[in-house]
Amino acid sequence: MGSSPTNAPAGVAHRIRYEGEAEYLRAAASWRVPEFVFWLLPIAAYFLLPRQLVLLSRVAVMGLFALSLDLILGYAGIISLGHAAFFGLGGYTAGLLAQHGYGEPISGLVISGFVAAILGFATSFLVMRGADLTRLMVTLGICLMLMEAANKMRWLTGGADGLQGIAVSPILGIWTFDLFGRTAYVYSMIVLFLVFLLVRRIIRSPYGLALRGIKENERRMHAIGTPVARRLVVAYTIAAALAGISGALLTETTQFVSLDVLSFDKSAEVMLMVVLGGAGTLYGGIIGALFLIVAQYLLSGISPQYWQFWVGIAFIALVFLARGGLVGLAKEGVTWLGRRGRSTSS
Amino acid sequence: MAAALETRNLMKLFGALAVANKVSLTVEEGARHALIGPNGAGKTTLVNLLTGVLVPNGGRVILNGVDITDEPQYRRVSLGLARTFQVNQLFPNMTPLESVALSVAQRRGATARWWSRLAKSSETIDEAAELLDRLHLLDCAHEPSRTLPYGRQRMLEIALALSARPRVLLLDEPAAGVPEGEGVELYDALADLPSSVAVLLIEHDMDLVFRFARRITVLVSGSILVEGPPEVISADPRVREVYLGEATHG
Repeated sequence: MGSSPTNAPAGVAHRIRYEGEAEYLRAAASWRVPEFVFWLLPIAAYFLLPRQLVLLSRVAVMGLFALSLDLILGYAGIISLGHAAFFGLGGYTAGLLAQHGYGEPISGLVISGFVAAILGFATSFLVMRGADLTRLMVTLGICLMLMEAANKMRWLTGGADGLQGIAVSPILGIWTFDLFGRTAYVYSMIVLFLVFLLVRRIIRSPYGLALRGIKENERRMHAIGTPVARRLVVAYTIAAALAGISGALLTETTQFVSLDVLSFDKSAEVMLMVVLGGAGTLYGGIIGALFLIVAQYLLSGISPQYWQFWVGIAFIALVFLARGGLVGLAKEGVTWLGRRGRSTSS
Repeated sequence: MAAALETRNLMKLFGALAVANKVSLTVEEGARHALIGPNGAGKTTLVNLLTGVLVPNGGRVILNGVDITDEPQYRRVSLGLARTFQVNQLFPNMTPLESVALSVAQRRGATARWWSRLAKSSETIDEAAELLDRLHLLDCAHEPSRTLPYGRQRMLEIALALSARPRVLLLDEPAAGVPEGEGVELYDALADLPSSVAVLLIEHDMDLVFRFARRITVLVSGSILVEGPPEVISADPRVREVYLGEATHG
């Protein structure tokens, strides 16, 4: 106890000297107050906005989809314009399962995620070749092919009419999907939260740090001995699985799936959400989804034809004013207020 | 003494131009070896051949007795060959602590683990902090790397290479861009490198070369012109001819 650092064994001395550094990283990784508040909002919304639950379920589904894209776009730095391939595949898998009499929702999500992961793994090797522009074209191409295949296979997918006759069983055999979307809402939010916890854990792991490293400087990652391609394959596969789960969630909560889930629009929309909310910020995708879907809802009420015009203006303004998206803007706001608070109190 | 790093008749052609022409270089264990040569001599090409960025047209590269000619870059690092870059290759938005912790985690084989937690990997963090301390970077451990002064970024570059615990360290012009008079910390850091590590220094700064190296290889037009201890090299008339300007001040 009374030993000074000089005569303590070297290892112990280090433990004492550098404890502050470990503490710093632990503090950076711990939950903060705004995060708790953020996750209390969906609970409040259930009671305060009972007539908007269908809309908010859509936010949860798209937020989950955006979260999966953020893992590869915001953290690993892989640009994809075809992420809807996995969303759509998951959606159709869940739909076909339910149509053929297997309507158990939770295992339906897991199976759909698994099927999407297989496609993600298989195509990751194509995506890993080449730089940003190549990746853009490859991901786009894969998604277009899948959409065309779904369109041609009318016997399986229903083609342009969508998949009919989806019957999803009650969750855990207890909660049936009701007309007001209450079950769907709670179910979507819980799935979103669980997947969020998983992604949060991944990005705060040594693996997550390696992904950030690859995005920031791939050359250096080779030089510290990281098998870069292998790390990216894993990230791409996980992101595909999560996108598949979000697609399946859409099918199960709406009891319908159509070609729209595989469209280029879907891929573009989810990327818009991530960038709008702030790529690589963990919450950006969910906030972007909330913003875009609510804006669409409100603006289409005002001018049904031109709502995209206003979204476009907001988007351009945001990328010029705050490159970190809405989350980046909020962070800057907090820093600014903090500085102002300090200067007025002194 | 045994060779830590060895090339045998290494060849690299860019079109008809031989940028590495039958280079046979031996870096002994624990060596302080410098590679010098005028611009365009093929020094950078040689570094790229050693580290696996370029594939040679002929010849072999041997690291600690293991033929690594066909190994990818990242495998060479785990086999004990680390490098620094002439132009800083840092993680601009990561702090020095995060950057070095990442490199340490990689050496420990932890970057494949997406279920473990970085903040709880106290051995990794301790090791990273200790290395930063040794290179006088601990007081800026939590600032984004891009905001550090250039000299500090240069030190971080070395810290990243050292965290791989290499047996052979390639220093590609470590003094490049460091202003006159600010090189002291860098010189000290180089002098403090563990004696078990063999160092191959590629450098333009003749002061640093003659202060640091106990063996010097002169590369001209892709071939080795001469090799020997510093006093032999500085007295060699052919080297004086190649380095007419610099030889007088070195």
